[in-house]
Amino acid sequence: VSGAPPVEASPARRRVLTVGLVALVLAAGAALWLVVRHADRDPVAPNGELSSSAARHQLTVRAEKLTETAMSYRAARADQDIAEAERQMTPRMRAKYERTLPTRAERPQQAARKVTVRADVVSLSGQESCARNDCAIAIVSASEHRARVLVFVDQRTAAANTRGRLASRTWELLTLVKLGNRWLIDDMVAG
Amino acid sequence: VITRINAVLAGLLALILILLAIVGLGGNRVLPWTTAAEEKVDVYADIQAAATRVVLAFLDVDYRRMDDKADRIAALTTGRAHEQYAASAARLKATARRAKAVATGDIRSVGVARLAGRTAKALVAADVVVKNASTKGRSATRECPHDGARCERYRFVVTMTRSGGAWKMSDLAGVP
Repeated sequence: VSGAPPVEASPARRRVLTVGLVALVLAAGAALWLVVRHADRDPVAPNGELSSSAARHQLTVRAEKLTETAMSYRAARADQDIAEAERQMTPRMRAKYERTLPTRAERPQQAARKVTVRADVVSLSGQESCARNDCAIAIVSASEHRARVLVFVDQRTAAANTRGRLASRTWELLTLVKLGNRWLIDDMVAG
Repeated sequence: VITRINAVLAGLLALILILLAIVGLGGNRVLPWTTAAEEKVDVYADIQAAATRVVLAFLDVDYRRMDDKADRIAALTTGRAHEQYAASAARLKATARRAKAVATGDIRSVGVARLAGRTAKALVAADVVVKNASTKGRSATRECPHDGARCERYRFVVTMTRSGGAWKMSDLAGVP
């Protein structure tokens, strides 16, 4: 109302307001401290790269299994082995993988000859096959949902009446993507 | 006085709420300091860059510039690798000159396999095109599309050690 004197809060109400504001500042300060601490301890760096040794190790363990499954093949169990390998791949990789497989017409002949192809990740200490922390697997880049992993792989082939032989010593650059809780192969490039 | 205190408290509360919203939405990207995760990721990147540089220094050969190569390798290595190269540099120089060797390395991929304190293991996949007196007559093929050259592929395990404020190679092992 024009001309009416401004209404001032009583000193008692102002003191109550002060106490309320102090409580709010403390609560907000505590919340800020918690949020900053959480951000500071985030294992994912600001550029999205994973820093946690445990997460990176899990990725290498998964990459070993994926590589050996994708690059191994037993002609006598071709359908199961191919299905198992394809379960570990994205549709894009599945299409690429299928172009590398023996044709359906060739598979019975290979099965009769007991053809097998076995892929092993190389052991850094020179053992026949690698064990924990000894596998030649390295992370090129890894975010929470996408990773590139370098793997050294030896492939051996064998068939009935022939001795197993080393078919290739190669490296593979795997692109993995995380769908749900599983890492799948999205691409493989051989050296 | 109480009114002024209340005004300051209200301002402080507003500031804290704004910061809360910024950090809550932006995460560690908006923190003005380097987080532990960022530091560790930088270490991985430093190791990869250093491993790339040193393996290239080993693979690149120009028989006319072997002293430069030796200097580069001396600066990028430490420990056993440093000593071994120093011991063999003169012999390598003589061999490269005799064969008129020129090699160009190409690092195809490099990753960190392990990191423990001041030591790390990196894997390096590399290709090399070698030209020397014995490759002169060779023709380009699908596998090696370079006339007068031989192409080689390498798988290396590189041990890197933090020394003098930088990551240097302390061991280089080829994986057959």
